[in-house]
Amino acid sequence: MSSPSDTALLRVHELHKNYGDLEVLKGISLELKPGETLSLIGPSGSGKSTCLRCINYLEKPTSGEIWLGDELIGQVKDGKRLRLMSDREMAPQRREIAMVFQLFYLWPHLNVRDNVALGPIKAQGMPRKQAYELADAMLEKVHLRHKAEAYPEQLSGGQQQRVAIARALAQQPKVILFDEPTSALDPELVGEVLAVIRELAEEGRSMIMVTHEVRFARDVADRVIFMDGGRIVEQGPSAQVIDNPRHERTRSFLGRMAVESA
Amino acid sequence: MVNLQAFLGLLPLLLKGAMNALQIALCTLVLASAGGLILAVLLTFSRSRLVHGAIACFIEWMRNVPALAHLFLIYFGLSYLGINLPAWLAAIVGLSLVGSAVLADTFRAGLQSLHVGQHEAGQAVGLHRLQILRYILLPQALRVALPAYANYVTQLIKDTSIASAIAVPEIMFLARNLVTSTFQTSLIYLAVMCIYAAMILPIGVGFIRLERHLRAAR
Amino acid sequence: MISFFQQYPEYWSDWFARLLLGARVSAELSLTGFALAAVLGALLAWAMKSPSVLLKRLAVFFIQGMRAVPLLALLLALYFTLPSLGLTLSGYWAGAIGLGLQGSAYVAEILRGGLDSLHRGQRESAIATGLTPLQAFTSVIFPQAIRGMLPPLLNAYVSILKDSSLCALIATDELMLAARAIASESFLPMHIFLLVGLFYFVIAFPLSLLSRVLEVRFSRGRKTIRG
Repeated sequence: MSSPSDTALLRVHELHKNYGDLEVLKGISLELKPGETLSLIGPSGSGKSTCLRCINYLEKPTSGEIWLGDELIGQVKDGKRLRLMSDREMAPQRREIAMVFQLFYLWPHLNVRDNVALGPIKAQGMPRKQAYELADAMLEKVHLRHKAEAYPEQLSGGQQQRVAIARALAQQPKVILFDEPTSALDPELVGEVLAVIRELAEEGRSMIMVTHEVRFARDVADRVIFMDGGRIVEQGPSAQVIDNPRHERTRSFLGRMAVESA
Repeated sequence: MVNLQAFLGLLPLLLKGAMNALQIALCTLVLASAGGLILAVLLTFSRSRLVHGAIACFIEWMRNVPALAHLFLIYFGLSYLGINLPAWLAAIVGLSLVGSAVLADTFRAGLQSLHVGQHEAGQAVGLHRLQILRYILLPQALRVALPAYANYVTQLIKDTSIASAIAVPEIMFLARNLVTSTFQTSLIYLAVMCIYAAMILPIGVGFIRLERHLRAAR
Repeated sequence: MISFFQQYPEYWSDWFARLLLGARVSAELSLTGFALAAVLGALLAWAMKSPSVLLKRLAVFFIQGMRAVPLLALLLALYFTLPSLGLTLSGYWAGAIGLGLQGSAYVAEILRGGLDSLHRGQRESAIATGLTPLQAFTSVIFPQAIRGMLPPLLNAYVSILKDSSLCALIATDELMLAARAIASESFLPMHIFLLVGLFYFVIAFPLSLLSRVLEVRFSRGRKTIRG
């Protein structure tokens, strides 16, 4: 279905992940084109979050390759064989792949502006003044410029997640990964975060998003991948996968979600 | 290098010292637990500022001055006032006073960790204050305080060694005498450390078991 | 009672000068011991966090051992048995090393507890931002962990200061030895040991108080932190 193409920005090839005897990912291959928004959906335990965390090697894959352009992620040639990079060696690559976490993980000892500027200052070596300007610009994008001086604990969950998105943007990454960005939020706060993500999609950012919000995935994502039991069951244009799923398991999952959200 | 015969020759005397140390520790533990409990209860329930102030002064003085100074004060100082305590008694009194202060803080933290609702629920079923304390608050508070209590007990056994400074015939004191008479310095101090470890390590394990047991009993 | 205190003015200048000299040594001794404890404790905490099982076991064994042996036994062993191995330490250095060795076990536990109290997401989000592990530690992990560690570290210092009094028993010229010397000359032990207690108290109490204030302040902040 997805033949390797030269135009892909990010390629995941035959990704396997085992925890002891438990096989969580059973050979995942996927591609992300520049400017594309890709959504991973599936029941909990299907491996979608693990897959996302393997892409920037927060989780070490058991086997498989991640390519960002023509750069192999997380592994380096050591003599003739490949070995895993250390976290230190990986730092420049992780800068290219930003991540937004389910539980935000803002740094409580830093104010909002410093949360956003820390990456540029430390990882990119940007002068502080310039980093603050960048941070303020990114906060503007998530409509929180006025909260720059606040500390994370003073913000609502939705605001914290928007700061986390600004922090990801300030990395000036090639790809942004979203790991269930709204599932820890109170229902009334979900909308503001989804609105920001939608704006980013419309800007043509390259993003992969693990989400439970099927309707949002349908509206915003260019393509949807449905995973179950550590495998990709079905993928295609979002409207097609979600409105006319071909596979039985996709159909029953979407049916259940529709009942729950109704 | 280590002479087994010499080692075995030293052992009886050192073990006798260990028994003395354990006796001092046990007496201290009883007195300090009682003292600490009374102070903690007073701190939690008394509304008198005088009581609070006096207890706070006592605790701070005991906790911010070395135990050795307390022992010297009680052993040498009191004899200056005409009160001649035998060394072992001076050691027990001194360590018990320090222990009361340490355990008062420990038990108070345990009592304060309980929700006010526990007290109110006791009142609601018609218990009077002492009954609430005895049947509702203390059993829970002591459980919370258990890990800190375990720390205190191990620290106490180690602190009995300080009594050697006022010539109480416990392990350290006997060991130092042995060193001057036999010159088996390394051997003796090695044996001393092993004996202390043998007394202290089982206590740690015992308390962990007890904690697990209490948690399971819930 | 009155006559008890009348003794003080008579001897005050002599006693105070000698005790002050001893107090200075005690302060230096305890600070040296604490510095050693901090360095060694950090190494132990690092060893306990390392992936090597051997290192972890060694660190745990060392810590357990240090907690099971009285400081006095350690001090006497360092002072009296090392010479037979060809290494003679002054009372001061035997004391500082003994305090450092024993203190390191407590410091290691404090550091480990402080680091463990942070959610692992804090480190993950830092390295996901492109920070190196060292940068993640210095900019994200340590600044947060130190808040929780400072109060118990202050308490550890107070313990080391009090414990340094035992160095009098290996002939270190510190505060307690000065007090003992004065007591045996003057035959006023009650006066002296009350006074020396006060000397320790004056240093230790403000630190204990500070530790408590910091603990209350930091725990207040901690409760509202999310994520």
